[in-house]
Amino acid sequence: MSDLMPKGAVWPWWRRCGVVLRKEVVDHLRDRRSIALALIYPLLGPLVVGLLLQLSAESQRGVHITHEITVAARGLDRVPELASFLALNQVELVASWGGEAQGPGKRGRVVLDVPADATPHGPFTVRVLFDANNVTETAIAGRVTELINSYGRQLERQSLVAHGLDPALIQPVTVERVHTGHRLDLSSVLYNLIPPLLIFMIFLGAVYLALDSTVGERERGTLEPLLTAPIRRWELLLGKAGAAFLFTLATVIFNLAAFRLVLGLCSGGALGSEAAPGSGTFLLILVLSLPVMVLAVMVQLVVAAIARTLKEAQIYLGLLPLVPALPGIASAVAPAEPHLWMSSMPVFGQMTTFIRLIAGAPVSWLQVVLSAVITLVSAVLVFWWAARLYEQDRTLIAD
Amino acid sequence: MIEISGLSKAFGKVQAVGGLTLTAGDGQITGLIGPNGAGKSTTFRVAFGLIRPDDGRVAVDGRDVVRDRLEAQRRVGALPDVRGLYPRLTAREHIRYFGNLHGLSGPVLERRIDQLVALLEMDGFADRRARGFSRGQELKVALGRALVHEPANLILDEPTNGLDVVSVRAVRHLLRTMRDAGHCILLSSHLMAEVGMLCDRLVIINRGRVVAEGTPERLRAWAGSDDLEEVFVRTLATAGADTDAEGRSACPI
Repeated sequence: MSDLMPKGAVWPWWRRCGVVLRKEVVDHLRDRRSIALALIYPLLGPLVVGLLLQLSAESQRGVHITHEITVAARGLDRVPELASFLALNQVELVASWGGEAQGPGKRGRVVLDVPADATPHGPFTVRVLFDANNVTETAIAGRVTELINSYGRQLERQSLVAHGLDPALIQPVTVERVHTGHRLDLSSVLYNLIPPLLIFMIFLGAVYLALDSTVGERERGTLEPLLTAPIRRWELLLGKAGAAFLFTLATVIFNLAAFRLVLGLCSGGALGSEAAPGSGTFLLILVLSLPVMVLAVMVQLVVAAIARTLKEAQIYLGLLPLVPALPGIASAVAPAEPHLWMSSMPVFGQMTTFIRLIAGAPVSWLQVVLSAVITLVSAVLVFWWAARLYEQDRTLIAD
Repeated sequence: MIEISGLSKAFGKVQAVGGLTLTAGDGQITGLIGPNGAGKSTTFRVAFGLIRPDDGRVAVDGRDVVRDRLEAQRRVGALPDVRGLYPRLTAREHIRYFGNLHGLSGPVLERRIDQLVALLEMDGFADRRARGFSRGQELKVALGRALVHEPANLILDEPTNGLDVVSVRAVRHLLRTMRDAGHCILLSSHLMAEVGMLCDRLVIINRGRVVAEGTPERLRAWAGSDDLEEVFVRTLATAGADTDAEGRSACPI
């Protein structure tokens, strides 16, 4: 037996994991594909949502309407100046919509409702009744609202100047938009899209790193030399998972920051009753999504270990983000009331919480803790499975 | 010392290694030679701790590569047949990565890397990323990371394949120096001239079994030829045709 002792100390497991983690981070920071996935893709969701919000806002304000529009008016005879102003601005006024009732839940056309106590010089509130699910009605309501606001400002200036006051002090005529459709305005639907898009990014952010550092490493022929080094398989996997987690974290931070920035710029309030979620909400979502990130990384590693080739793994992992994101997209259109059983489903529990946080609705902290624990336990089980797979010959040797 | 006893490994219906036994001693260069598919790479993979044997055992300095894998791996410098480099890491970073995995760090490791860069003549590309390296350059990096922890035992699959003449001579000189310092070296090669020059002992395997072993001189004497290539071919022919009822060959074992 040789009396030549091997050089090098026996490091603790976490230090060996750290060596692998550092190498993977350095390696993938030099890779354009990893950087694109982590830093550029997260901007796409916010840009799409921002664009939709902006278009919706413009549509609601009736910016694009230049032709004559028709609205029914109730009690407008009490303020003939307003009727003249609207007529001058290509608004045709009719007494009613042929007997159709107008009110919440009833499909109809735009109605102006001037209150019985309205006087020509105000103050009074004109109600604009419309169905926000109807794009044309929304646009007409937006146009009428803009005109009435404009009339109000004109009246305000005249009356203030007549009294020797600063016109900026008061607003004699205000307008209240009453949405009579089944749902709230479009902004809430768009905001609800944020959680599924975020989940999608969580499962996509480090996908290239997960692929490249497992099945890619096997195909490239680097896994075999690596496994000759004195490191346990689970330590190796944990180091790689750590690197994938950091890339996922960077992706999520970029994604949420971009959402916050875009929503701030688009000013969700302009769309109606839904105010844009604030930075605190996004920060809380970041913290609550940490267990999901851990699970996503572990699932990616298992899928990459099961796949025989890089191409096969790319197909699986390309579809993977859709699986958890689809229920979220359904929830965006028809948000479900949170039940405790939802927390037992990893990812879906968090998605429900995120939707409520964004809507400004109260959140059950029991549900939040439960979903975090269940997701983390699931992540540990998936990691255990991945580690077992890495002990098998077929996972390691490409032959 | 590397001890392989009764090693068997099958992949499905293919018996890659079937009851292989050999010992590579300290202060010796042992050559493992055989035709394609003889079981050399599988034997090495088990010895590296990459795959588990179906039967038998491999021990490095007494450490079983299955039960005490990490300790066995710490004692081995491994050069598998796939060199496998990370295209975005430099040659120096490759060696540093493996040095770290062997528990080396700081100035000790950096000095060792400088030493290997000089020894393996890597000055021209040590700080270049590995994408686009020639086969010879890849092999030098792979050798560097196998040697970084100054292992007592070396298992090298085709250690000079793809190197230029000057580098081949440098590697051979390095291996002889290590042998003289007491290291155990087990290598495979298809270059009979090389194994003839380098190896103190030769083990010829076929179909996963040892068919002949001994010093190059002994094998030459048995075959009645100074040409090791001829010795190799004759050994395989004899082993295939001339075996007893238990499968033992008539070649020198």
